[in-house]
Amino acid sequence: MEQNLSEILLVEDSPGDARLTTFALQSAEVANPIVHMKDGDEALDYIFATGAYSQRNKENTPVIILLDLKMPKVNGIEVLKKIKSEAITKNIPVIIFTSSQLTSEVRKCYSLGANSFVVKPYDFNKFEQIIKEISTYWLIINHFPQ
Amino acid sequence: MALQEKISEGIEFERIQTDLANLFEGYRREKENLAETQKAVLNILDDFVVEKSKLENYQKALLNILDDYDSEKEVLQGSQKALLNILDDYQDEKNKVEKTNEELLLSNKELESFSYSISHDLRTPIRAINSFTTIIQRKYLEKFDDEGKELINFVINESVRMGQLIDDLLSFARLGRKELHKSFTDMTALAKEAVNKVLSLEEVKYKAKISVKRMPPSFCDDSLMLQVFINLISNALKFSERKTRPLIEIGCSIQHNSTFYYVKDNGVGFDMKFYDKLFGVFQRLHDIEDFKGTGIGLAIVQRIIIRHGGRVKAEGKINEGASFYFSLPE
Repeated sequence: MEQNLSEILLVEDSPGDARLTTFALQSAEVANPIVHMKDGDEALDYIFATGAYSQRNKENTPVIILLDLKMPKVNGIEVLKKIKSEAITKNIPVIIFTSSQLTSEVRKCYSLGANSFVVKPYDFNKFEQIIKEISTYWLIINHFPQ
Repeated sequence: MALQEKISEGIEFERIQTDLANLFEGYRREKENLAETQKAVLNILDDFVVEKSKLENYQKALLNILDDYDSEKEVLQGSQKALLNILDDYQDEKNKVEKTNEELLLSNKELESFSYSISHDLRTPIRAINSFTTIIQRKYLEKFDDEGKELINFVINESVRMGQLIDDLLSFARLGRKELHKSFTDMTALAKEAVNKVLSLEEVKYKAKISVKRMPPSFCDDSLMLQVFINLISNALKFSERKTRPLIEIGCSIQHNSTFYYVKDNGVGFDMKFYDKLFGVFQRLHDIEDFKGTGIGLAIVQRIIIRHGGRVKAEGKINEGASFYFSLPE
């Protein structure tokens, strides 16, 4: 196994959902460090090493991004658009992880290049199961371009 | 002189006589001329009388025509007025329809943001309640006594139920907006597909014997009609499971010249006294302890059938089963 594992970036405004996602990732025994950004604005600063994160090396891109849609300031759609339009970030798998089940949003996210669209269940057992499957697929099964 | 005078007087007399005769002759000629002229004038007058009466007739005819024209004109003016009124009314109606359309668009938009708010903002706290309680139950179970454990279970079960209610409400609201994509649909194949779907999705292993009869095709939105069959079949399975030999029959019958598709079971049935509540949103006619469910299934069935322009009905008797019928416009 690699020494320095890439980060999982969690973009989530709800403290409850952030805690649950972290909890579920840990109980799925995911070893990658988890970075949590509380809205789209903060997330873009982190990803592109601007603003408060201008000291960060932006070559260290996250291994996957779990992205909520409805967030204050900059929403998930705008974050997705930016990530998928920049050469340095467009290959990062973006998993939309949201409470919304609107077909219009699913369509929009896919047209912008989202890699997956997952609706958060309200039942924690299912929530954990989903997180486990997401991490297994994207961190172990899937191959990335070098 | 006297003779001379007399002779010349005689000559004069003769001359006068001749003059007079000439005068008379002239006069007679004039008279003849006059008589002729008079005749001609009389003839002309005669002709004129004929022409006049002709003219009078023409005039009469013309007046009649004008009279007719007047009444026609009145009729025409009446029709024109009526037409103008209709056009006015039409414009009024058009304005009303346009206004209603605008209002509808607005309320649709509101409904959309309303369901977005439900799906997102309400699900988040429910997930938190369910999940954190589940984590507490897992990690700290030994710290609770029996009552504490029981109460924790209540919180978890009720939060799952609330999540289901929200999901059901959302899918019900979405139905109202969804466009119908109608096509000729093989109802027999659709019913069989629904049976397979229900049996593979339900967590319980049902023992019911299900028979699907041949049914005529219909012109409908097949994905929505599949939902109708799924809801009716899953109800039939649920409410007949406690019978020793649960039977479910799917088919169709002709009633009052309309084709009614049906799903019948020999299960617990229902009291026709509560028929009015049967198709209501979140209405349940059975104890939640006995039969699970939020009470949205039949409301969805009714909504889909009504959106197709058809109708639903049901028959039931306690402990003798229930039959649900629906018709579709042909």
